Amino acid sequence: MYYMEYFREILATPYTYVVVNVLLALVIAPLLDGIERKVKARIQNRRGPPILQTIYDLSKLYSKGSMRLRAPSTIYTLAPYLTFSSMVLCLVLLPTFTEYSLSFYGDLIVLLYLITSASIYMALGGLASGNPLASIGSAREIMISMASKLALALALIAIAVSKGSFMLTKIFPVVDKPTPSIILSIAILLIIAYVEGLRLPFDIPEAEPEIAGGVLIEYGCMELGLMLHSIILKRFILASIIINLVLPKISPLYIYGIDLVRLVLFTLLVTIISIIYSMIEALSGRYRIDMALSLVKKVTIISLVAAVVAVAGY
Amino acid sequence: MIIETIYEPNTFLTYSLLLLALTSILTSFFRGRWASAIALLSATIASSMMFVVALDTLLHNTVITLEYRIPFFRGVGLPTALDRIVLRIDPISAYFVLVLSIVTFTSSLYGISYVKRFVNREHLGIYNINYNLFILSMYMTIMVYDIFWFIVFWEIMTLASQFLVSFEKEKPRAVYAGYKYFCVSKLGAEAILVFAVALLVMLAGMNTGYDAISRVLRRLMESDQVMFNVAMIPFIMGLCIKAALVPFHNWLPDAHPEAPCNVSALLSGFMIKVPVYMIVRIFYTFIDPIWYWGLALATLGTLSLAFGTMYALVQTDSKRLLAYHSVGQIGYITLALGSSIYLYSLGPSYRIYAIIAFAASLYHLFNHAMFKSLLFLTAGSVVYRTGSRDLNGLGGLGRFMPITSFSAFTASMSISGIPPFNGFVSKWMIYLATIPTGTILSIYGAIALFISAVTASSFVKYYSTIFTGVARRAYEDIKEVPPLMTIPQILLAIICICSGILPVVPLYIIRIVGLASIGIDLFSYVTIYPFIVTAGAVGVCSPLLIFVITYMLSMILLAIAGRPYVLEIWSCGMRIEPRLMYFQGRSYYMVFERIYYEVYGLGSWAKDVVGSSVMKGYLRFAEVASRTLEEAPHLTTLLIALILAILGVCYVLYGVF
Repeated sequence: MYYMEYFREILATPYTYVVVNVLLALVIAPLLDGIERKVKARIQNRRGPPILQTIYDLSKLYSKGSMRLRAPSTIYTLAPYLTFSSMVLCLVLLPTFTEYSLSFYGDLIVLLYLITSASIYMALGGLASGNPLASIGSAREIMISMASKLALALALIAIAVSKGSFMLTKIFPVVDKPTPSIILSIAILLIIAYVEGLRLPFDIPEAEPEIAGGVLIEYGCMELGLMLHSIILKRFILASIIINLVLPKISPLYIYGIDLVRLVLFTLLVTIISIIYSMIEALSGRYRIDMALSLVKKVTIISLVAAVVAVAGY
Repeated sequence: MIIETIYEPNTFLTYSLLLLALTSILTSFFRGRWASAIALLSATIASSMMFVVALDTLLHNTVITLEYRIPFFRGVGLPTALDRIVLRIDPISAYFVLVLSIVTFTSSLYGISYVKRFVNREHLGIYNINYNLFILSMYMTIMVYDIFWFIVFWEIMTLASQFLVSFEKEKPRAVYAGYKYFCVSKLGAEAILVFAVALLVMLAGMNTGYDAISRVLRRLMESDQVMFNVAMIPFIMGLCIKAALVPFHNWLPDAHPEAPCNVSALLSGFMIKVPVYMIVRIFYTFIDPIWYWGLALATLGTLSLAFGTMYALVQTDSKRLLAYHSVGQIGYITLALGSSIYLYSLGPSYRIYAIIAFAASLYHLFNHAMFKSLLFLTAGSVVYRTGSRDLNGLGGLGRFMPITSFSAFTASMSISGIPPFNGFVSKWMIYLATIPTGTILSIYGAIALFISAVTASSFVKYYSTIFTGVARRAYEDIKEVPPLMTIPQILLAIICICSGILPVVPLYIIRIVGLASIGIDLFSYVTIYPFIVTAGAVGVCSPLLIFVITYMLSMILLAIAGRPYVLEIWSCGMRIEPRLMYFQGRSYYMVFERIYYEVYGLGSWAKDVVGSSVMKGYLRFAEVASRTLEEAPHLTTLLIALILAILGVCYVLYGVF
């Protein structure tokens, strides 16, 4: 039939695989969160929830309606949707399970912008709700996001300067050029991915006994689902940046246009990173905001060194 | 047809300048609101005429030359400059006139209602004369073609704005801010400028036109580099003091908050950019770009954007926060300009980055004028209704002042550089021009990217402390401001949104400026989409798609959401009235200030070590000077005395050498 050829033509463009990337990420990221919860529980001598638990939680939240406050505020209503869209767009820009992504000159900067604006929208939502506990959480979220953004920007730009290009697809496999600045930057990215992922020493803005939920306090039902899903997606995005950088070039094996070798390798590596991070999470208490900021400040100084080394040509 | 018959550039120009000059002097004697209305209305009319002239000049790529002869000084044996004022509007000047006229139009319209605050408290005649004189002198500084008259009008600009800053004579802070501004500008900047310019004029053989200065500078550059830098260092330092770049920015955070709000919009929106005009003139008209000056300007710009914005983060006074952000954003403009000078001098392989940086700096100048004046106008609306600038005490005004709240939100998003507003496009161009170069500018660009996040955080604080949250009891019967104040705000907000969605419109004009100054066509190096500009090679798809998809996705999700449940704010199960739980402005980034104490400590160290010794000297001089000047009652006497002093200095130099 003629439409079969039409479909085959559409399937052949990169856009389809980008959609595949996004859908897989939307499902697998909560699965990874479930694995993290299981590993954490086992280390803490508990049984822990089933691996699919985060998926169950999110689908329960999405199936309820939406919720708003008695005093309506536009930003409070829009914030969860803007956060979630920013995160989904990051997924569009990054090659995750397949090697396709929407790439253009300067998309590195767009990626940084989207990650920053996701935190800003989340914080704006908390501030606009009018609850002072949410305001405290938002202010802390902004401070941590700001502090770690400098380190993230310097590390990524150091890598880009070393590789000599500013398109993500040209930066990505970095194993063929292990310069000192790149190695240092990857180390910094590992730390920053942990901090930005709001994992336990740094989960200051949300889910806190001190401020009863922080940023997420006035969100419920679908909006809460979107915010939680955004946080989980942010962890996945940062991990996938690191994996893309260290993924070795192995000869591909294509089935229906999807590189099976890369798919398996990527999933394996992202699971390993999640398990390692959750082991660190299981053994940590929560940092106070000033302790977290001092740590990030020290990491920032190292990333400045990395950037200077990269510009100097090493 | 009708437009062609009534519009003739020379008459429009002359009449608007005459209108400003005459109304300033005539309305200076009256205290009533009607006199101010006449003065401000004439400023509005004059600025619209100048806007038409500038737009016409730019679109037809013509150059207007006008010469006004002053009959008194002919044949007295003084330097040639004194018997005529030569105006020459080429594309660079026309661009700055365009920006200035939009800013002036909106703040004058705003001021017609705003001066109601001062009616019975102050002598509005002082406001009238200084306001119109300030605008007139700003127009003249960017249009004259002669360095002598440039300095004269620069001095008048400083003097007029100083009287406006200390307009509320009863407030000691306003008077202190005015004195500090006066001291730093007059003694610091003017002495430096006058020395450097006198040196150049002496070398040019007493011919002060820009052509002569250009010839002198080029000859100096080739023959004697040391003498060249001896002339240039004080000149550029004087310009940097007025532009409030970081080691010299001390006067701005005190002066801008104390001025009346539409004057703050003018000060921040245009006056700190007149030095940028002169730097563009020096490096693109007088001489060719030099690499070390470009790098120096880029470094100063980076320091300004870093320190200015980080200091803005912890402010609790709304206008002081905006003033520190002015320091930061002028840093962005200077970084872009310095980068373009440095990259242009590096050679043809960096040419594409140089032109993008130049266009970025001009575009950011336009955008900053738009959103910063809009921010000051919204802060002014809040002050007009509540009388307060204190971020700790305001809250929840968004419900009562919807138009102001919308404008403030637009301006906050613009300055933070969030698409689809205009700040994003110009900041994006700055990143595109600095980060991929692989030089030290990449690190400067990374710092600029970080500071963009800091700006966003700071404006989250500004917007949420004033407009969202729960309203305090004292502010529950606030209404929106009168229409003469909302119309300028809406106009500026529309400009912000439109130049963000369609950057090709301002960039077309900037391309004409680029062609006239550097000689490179911007459009042959970049592709311009809605919301975004890309350089040269484009990857798999157009980046436009990204931002359209963000908003579409959010709207789709919003539409899918069902009928909402409605709940109260959670107060841990207790029955507390929400209005008793406040999160004050000072608490937002307190911890950040404590941890990054090295940055914040630098300011107090500088104030203790450098500031106190220098400032005490200046303040002592200022006190002595003001005590003697109190004998002269009328402002015009003061102005005449000042101009005579400048003429005297020139005469002495001419006579000695």
